[in-house]
Amino acid sequence: MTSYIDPSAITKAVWQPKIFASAPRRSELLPLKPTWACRAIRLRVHRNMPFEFVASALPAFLAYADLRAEITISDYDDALNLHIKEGADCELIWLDYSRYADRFDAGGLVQWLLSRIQALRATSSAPILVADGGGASPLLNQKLSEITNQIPGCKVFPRQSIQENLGNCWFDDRVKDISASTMSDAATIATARLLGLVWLPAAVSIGLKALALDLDNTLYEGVLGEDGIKGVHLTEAHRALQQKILDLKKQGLFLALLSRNEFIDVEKLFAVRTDFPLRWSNFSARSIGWNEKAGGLQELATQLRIHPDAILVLDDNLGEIGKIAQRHPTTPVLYTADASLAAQALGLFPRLLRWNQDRTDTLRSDDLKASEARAEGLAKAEDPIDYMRSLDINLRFWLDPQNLLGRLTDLANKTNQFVLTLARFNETEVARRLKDTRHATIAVNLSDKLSDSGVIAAIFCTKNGTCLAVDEICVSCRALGRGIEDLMIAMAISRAMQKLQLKKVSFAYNRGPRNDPARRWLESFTGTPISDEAGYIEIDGQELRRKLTPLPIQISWEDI
Amino acid sequence: MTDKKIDSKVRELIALVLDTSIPADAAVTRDSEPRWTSLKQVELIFALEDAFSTRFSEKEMPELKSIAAIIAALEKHRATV
Repeated sequence: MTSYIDPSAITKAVWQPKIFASAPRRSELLPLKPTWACRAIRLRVHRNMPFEFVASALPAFLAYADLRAEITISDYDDALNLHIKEGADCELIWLDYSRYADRFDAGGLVQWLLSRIQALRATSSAPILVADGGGASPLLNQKLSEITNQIPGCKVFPRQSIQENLGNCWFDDRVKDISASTMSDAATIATARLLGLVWLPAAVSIGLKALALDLDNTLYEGVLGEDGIKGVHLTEAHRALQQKILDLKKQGLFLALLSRNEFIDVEKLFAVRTDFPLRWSNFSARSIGWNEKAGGLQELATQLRIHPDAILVLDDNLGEIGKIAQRHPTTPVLYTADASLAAQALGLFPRLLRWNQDRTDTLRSDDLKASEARAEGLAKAEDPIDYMRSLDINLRFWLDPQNLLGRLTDLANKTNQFVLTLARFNETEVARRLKDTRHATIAVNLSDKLSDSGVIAAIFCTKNGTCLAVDEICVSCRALGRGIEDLMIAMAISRAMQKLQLKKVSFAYNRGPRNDPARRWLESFTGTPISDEAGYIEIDGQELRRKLTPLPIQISWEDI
Repeated sequence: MTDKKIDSKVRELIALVLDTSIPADAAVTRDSEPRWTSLKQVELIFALEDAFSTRFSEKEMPELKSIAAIIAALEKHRATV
C-alpha cells in the first residue's frame, strides 16, 4: 500500500518557528498563505482606537488554527453605539480606556461599559471578548472581570498579560500622531497572536481533549531502542516540555502515548527514569508498537472515547506527521523537533484554551480509569443488577441550574455519539433558556464508588402548545453503557413536564456524522423506528412513566 | 543587500501590506495608491523596520511617501550603520 504525505501538515510544521517565535516578525508573517481550507468566521470589532495593525497580522495565526476572519471594524466611537446590521461569530470590544478618564472613575466606567455590553448581548448571541485595560489598569481589569462574569458568553481578552511580557516594548510613541495609537509593532503582533491562536479559536471552535505523545526526540533527546533507558537525555528544554504537558493534564486534558517502540521498554523507561516529570500513570491511553501511527491514533481515540480530531499529536518525525494528517486531516499536529519551541507552542496552541473551564474537565482522566474497572467488574458479575447495586450509583439532577451554564453549553456543543439534534446552543441561548419560563433545562451529575463523572447529561426542553418539545439531549460518552440512560432521561423529562404542566412529549432528532447511538436509543426508548434524516417522535406521559422503572441507584434533585 | 534586492523587498512588502500587486518598475506613491492610507503607512513602516532591521525616526516617518523615498531612507540608514 502506498503511503501519502499530507503537504499541508508539513507546511504547518514549517510555519511553526515563525508562528511560535518568542518575538514573531511582521515581515515573516505577512507572506504566510495557507494551502489548506480555513473556516470563515465573522469578527465584529467595536472600537475607539485602531485595530487595523492587529487585524493585518491576524491571518497567519488564524490560518494556523484553520480559520479565516471576515472582519468588520466600527467607526471610532467612544459612545459604543453598536450599529449592528448583520450577524457575527464573535464580537470584540476594543477600547482605549484612557479616553474616558475625564468622564468616569474606574467604577463608573465599568458600570457604563456593563450597560453597553448588555445592549450588545441583547442584539447578538455571539461570544463577546472585551479587551482589558492593559498593564496600567489593574483595578479596571478586576472590575471588568467581575462584570463579564455576569454576562453569558462574555470573557475578558487579557491585553494585560501581553503588556506584562513586553514591558516598555508595548509602547511606540513615534506612531501616535499618525495612528492615534501608541501600540508598538511587537504589541500588535503579540495581540494578534493571542487573539488568532488562542481566544478566537476558543470562542468559535470545540476544544481539544487529549495530547498524543511521541517519545523519541519528543519527550527526551535520543532513541530508546538505540540509546537505552539510561542513554536517552532529558534536556532542560525537554523537561520544560514535559512539565508543560503535565500542566495541561492538570487542566483536564487526557495524555496518551503514541510511540513506535517495544511496549515493555517504554514501561520500563518510565519506571527507571524518575527524573522525568511525566509518569507512566499519567497516561490514560497507550498505543505502543510497530504499526502505523495513523492507526495507533484511531486506537487511542477509541480508548479515550473521543474523536481523533479532539487529539493533538506531538511528533518530531515529518514523515509520520504527514501520514497521520493524510488519514486524519482534521487532527492537529505539533512538530516537536525543537523542544523549546514545542513548549512555547503548547502555551498558545489553538483549541487548548477552553471557553468554559469546568470541574468536570478535571475528572475525566480518573473517570476513564474507573470505566475500565467497571467493565471488568460487569464482565465477572453474575447479575448485572446486583453489580449495579454494588457500585452505589448516584444521579443528582438540577432543574434550570444557572450556576452550570458553562457546563451545559459545553455539553450542548458536543459532537459525540449521544446528541439527538445537534442543535448546538451557544452560551447566550443556554442562558436565555435557563431564565425563560417556557423552557426547562436539566443537568445530571453521575457518580459511583469508583469515580465522580461530573455533570454528564443536559436535556433541553420547550413548551410547545400542549406538548413538551425535547429540543436536545446530550450525554457524555463516559456515562453510556451503564444501563442508566432510560431512567435518567425519563426522570429529567418527567420533571420538565411537571414544571411546564404538560402531558405529552415530542422528541426531535437529526442525523449527524456520529450520532447513530443516540438515534438507536430514541428508537428503543419510544418503540418507533427511525429512518428519516430528521423528524419528531411523540409519546404521551403514561408511556414515559413506564420508563421510570426503579433501579438500584440513588436519585436526588438539588435545589439551586 | 544589493540595491536591486532592496528595491524588490520594498515592493514585496508594500504589495503585502496594501494587498495589491506592485509592478517591478512602477513608481508607486501614497498619492497614486488609494490603499496607502495613514494606518497602512504605520503598518508598512513596522514591516520595513522589521525586514531591514532598522528604525525610522518620528521625523522620517511622514516622508516615506513613495518607493523612491523609502529606498533612499533605507540607503541612508545603511550608510550610517
